[in-house]
Amino acid sequence: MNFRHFFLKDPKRMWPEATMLVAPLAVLFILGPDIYPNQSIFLELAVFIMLADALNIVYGYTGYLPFGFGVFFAIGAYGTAILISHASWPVAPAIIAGACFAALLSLLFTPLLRLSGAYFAISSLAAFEAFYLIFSNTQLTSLTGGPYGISFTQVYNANLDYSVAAVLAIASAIVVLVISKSTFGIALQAIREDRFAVELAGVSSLRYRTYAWLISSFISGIAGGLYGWYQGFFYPEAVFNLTEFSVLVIVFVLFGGKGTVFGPVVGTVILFLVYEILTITFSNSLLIIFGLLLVVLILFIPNGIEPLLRKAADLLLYPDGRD
Amino acid sequence: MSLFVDAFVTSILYAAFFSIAALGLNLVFGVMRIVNLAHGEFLVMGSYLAIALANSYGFNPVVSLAVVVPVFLAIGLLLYFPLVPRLQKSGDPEMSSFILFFGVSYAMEGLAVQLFGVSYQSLQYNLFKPIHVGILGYIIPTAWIVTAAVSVVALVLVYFYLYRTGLGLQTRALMINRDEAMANGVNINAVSAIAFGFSIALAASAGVFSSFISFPTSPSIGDTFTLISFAIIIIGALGNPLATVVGAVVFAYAYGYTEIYAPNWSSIVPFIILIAVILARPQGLLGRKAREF
Amino acid sequence: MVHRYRGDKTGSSSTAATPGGSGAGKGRSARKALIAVIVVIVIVVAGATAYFLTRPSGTSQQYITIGTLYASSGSFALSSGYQLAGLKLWINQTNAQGGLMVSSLGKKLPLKLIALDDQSSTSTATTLYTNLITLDHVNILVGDFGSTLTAPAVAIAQEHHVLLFDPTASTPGFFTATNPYIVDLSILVSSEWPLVLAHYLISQKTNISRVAILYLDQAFTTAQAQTLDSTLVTAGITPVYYQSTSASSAAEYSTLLQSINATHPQAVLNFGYDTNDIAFYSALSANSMHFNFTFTIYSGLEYSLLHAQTPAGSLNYTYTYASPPAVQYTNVNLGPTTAAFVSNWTSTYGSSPNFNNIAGFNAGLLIGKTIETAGSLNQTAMRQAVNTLSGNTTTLEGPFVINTTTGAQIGMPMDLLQYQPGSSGLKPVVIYPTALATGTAVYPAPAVVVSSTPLNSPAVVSAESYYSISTSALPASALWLQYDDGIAVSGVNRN
Repeated sequence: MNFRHFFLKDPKRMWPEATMLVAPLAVLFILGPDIYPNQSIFLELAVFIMLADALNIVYGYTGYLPFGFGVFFAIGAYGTAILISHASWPVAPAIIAGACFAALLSLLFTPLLRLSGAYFAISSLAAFEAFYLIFSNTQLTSLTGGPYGISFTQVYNANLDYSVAAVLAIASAIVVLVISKSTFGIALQAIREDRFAVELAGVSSLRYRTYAWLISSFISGIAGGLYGWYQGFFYPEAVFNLTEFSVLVIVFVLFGGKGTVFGPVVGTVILFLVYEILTITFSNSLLIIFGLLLVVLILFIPNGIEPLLRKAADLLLYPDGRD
Repeated sequence: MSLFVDAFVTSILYAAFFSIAALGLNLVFGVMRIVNLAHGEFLVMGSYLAIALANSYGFNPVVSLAVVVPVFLAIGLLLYFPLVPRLQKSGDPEMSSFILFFGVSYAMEGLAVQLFGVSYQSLQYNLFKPIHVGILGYIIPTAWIVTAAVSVVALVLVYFYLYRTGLGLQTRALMINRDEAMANGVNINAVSAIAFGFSIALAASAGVFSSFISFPTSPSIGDTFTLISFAIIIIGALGNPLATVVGAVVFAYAYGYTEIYAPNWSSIVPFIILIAVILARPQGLLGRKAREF
Repeated sequence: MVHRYRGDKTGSSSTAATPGGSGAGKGRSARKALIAVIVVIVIVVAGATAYFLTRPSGTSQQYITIGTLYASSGSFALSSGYQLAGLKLWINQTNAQGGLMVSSLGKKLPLKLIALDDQSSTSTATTLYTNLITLDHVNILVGDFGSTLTAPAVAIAQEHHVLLFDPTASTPGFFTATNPYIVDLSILVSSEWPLVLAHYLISQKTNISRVAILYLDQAFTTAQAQTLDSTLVTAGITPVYYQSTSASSAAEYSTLLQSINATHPQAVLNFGYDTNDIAFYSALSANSMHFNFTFTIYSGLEYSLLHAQTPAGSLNYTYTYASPPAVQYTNVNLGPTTAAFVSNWTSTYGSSPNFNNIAGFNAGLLIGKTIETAGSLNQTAMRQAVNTLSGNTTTLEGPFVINTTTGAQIGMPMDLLQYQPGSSGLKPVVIYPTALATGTAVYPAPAVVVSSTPLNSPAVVSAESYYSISTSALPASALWLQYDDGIAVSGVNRN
């Protein structure tokens, strides 16, 4: 197989979209903490962008929704923490190794990729719960810290962590862009739309799904490692958090528009910031407001805001309807 | 030996309770192909209503059912029409329903906090007299026996509805093949709305008894019920309401016996079984084919 | 109309065959879009920057800002709310007296509370702690309830050199010699809690030789179970049952109790949170089981809740940690006595306070004293001031003693009490250490007659009676750590 062909159809055609992804995100990450001096919000935003892009690769491009998706994030965080606290690894290799653990775990789960939609969603949820219970088990305290949590504050470096996370968040958006333009991405979408036709054409749909699954879990693992590093100390339930690192990410991707390059990024930026603003200002009614907001969104714009934004941009740039 | 038998008895009562706790979730999935992530929150709301009725009027939980069932049936029907038909029109109702009902569950938890506060509440065993009954030398609280008995009655009623009534026939037709059912004149909206209402009412009925046998009631406990219900209906068979009972039995016994022999690993066992069942028999123990290839 | 910028196209797989013929047109329109996007960003950023730069910033200190978090929902909501209520009462009382004297500013400043809601979520807590420090620039940072929600603050506070006043997070791992920016105000380090209990059991070795320990797999409870287990084993008592669990339902506890019962224990110790203890007592009642010695944590910390939510008579003759308000300190030198506080609270709120209310209030008292001692709001100066208070300050919660290097609390002892039924209801009786005892243990516990009174008139009246301990009975240094049996505490780091 021609490696270059496999990944890139035409690199030159990507630069306008790449610029439109990189420029606003770079501005946001550079100026954001100066305008609203709370670095942790922007760090979390970077982490959520990575997670949203990772989820988009598997959910948006293959149609498979892993409901317990957050397990890769948690494994990344724990892998990083364990290597630093027990083996005194430097941070960078520890995070990469943590992400590799997440990818290895995803290989273990590949039999689940043979299942159809709802079964896949829920069995990944069961896997999430099972790993949470393993990592928090008191009998594994010497390795994972068990219920005591795990500490690696000796390498704590909030500013460096933030810079790396911001760069990697942008990089993950570029990864999605590259995938969408590649033969690989097109094959994934073809599989999503009509698997049997693709199989008849001699393409192993399971193999393509497995690649997407691997890339996705690796990016989630990186996000987990960076998040764990920023915490310095965490309990199992802080990273094995289904509501935040699985369900909220799904919500962000659906809100933005799954299977698109810009949707997950735009969806995450908007909805995460709305969530944070609600948390800080209307905390008493956050659950009710955010819950109702989701209901309204899914009922009235079920395909996400990306198509709407695209239409708005068209109208703005070509008010006379000229193409 | 006594230990073994005692766990056997406790587990069967637990299984009966979780059968009706999970049944509604499966009914909704079977009929509408949507996943109700707010299932546990409806259960919690039913529990709060029963506690309020007991505190204010001294209602016995069985009497409370006469209030809880119609109220939540009505709530279910009222929620169905603005939410579900619109959802069905979207490209992928199954996945969209995750986010829709996640929103509903968020809002309901917030509402429960505002209405009932955050402290734990539970019904007292002494609402039943005598408090305990002895069966074959084992002492069991009457409340647990009543919980199991009500669950069994509810299961029988659901069975009769599905297999002995015209609407039940239409419901089953809808579960087997939506398009063919529609072509044969099944009124999808009516059948679905009733199934949705029943589902909510079943969850709330389970909630009436939940504080006896499972967890004390609080706004944040809903997720736990949803998660356990999920595990149960997958182990049984997704989309086959009566297979829920099988799932509940497997779940309860797996839990009950690991609790004796390996307590620190007991909570992981249901999920391991769930994954094992899915890999070996993805359609569930009693289900139709689900593996794609 | 072509979808210009998308390489993918949902709903159709025909994208795979999209020809690349219109490249020039795409480039032109993309450039226009790019310009539009950049213009919008520049305008937004310029406007926002202008707004934030011209925003008035506080120049002179008008008040002392106290920033804290609480959880309005989620699993910590109840305890977190109790702690905040206690802190609020202290703030209101202090403001009613005109605030706190800050000598470096030469005036009394009123207190201003900024309490943000973390919904029991650690990631939200991370954001909000940062907000309190970097946006609100709070003078005093107070942690939320418990270790889980305090954990995110530890690294952030250290990073920003802000002292974290920690009311109720007792995980030993938070307190290290390298981090001076944390101090535990109101709670004994959790690994130390069961020491009194352990030494009592050792002193009763001839009566109680079969001990069963069941604990929840959380840091707070695991730490206690491990200390208890290792202390007992050292003294030659090997527990007949020692298991962790994640159970929280009555049916699960019922099965666990069956296996515990099968080991024929004389003492059963259950380390859990409130919801676990409720399930534990419900399961005890469900099985009509009875043990000679039954111990739980939350029957002491949240007596009213446990009493209301467990079957009638459940708590009779059970044991728990003796902490305020069940223990009352009279000889205090900072703030009100425990009794005065309890009566004031009861008249203000119509219900009696629990341990976490007192912990929140106690944190406030010590923060106030710290500021007055330091004479400024400088974080390092305040940390120094806390050290000078240690060992010579007694509040309504007991003697305040910290490890001055790590900031861990080693005062605020957790003695052992038994609830003994009396004519007016359950009476908490301190039974150990003997120097502080107000009565003797009833052992074995008489079997509880299961009452069948209706819901609204429980057999046991909830009136709690109190007794007092005079701290003058205590030697000058932290001598509650000396036990009657003279057994040295081994394996536990006290420094």
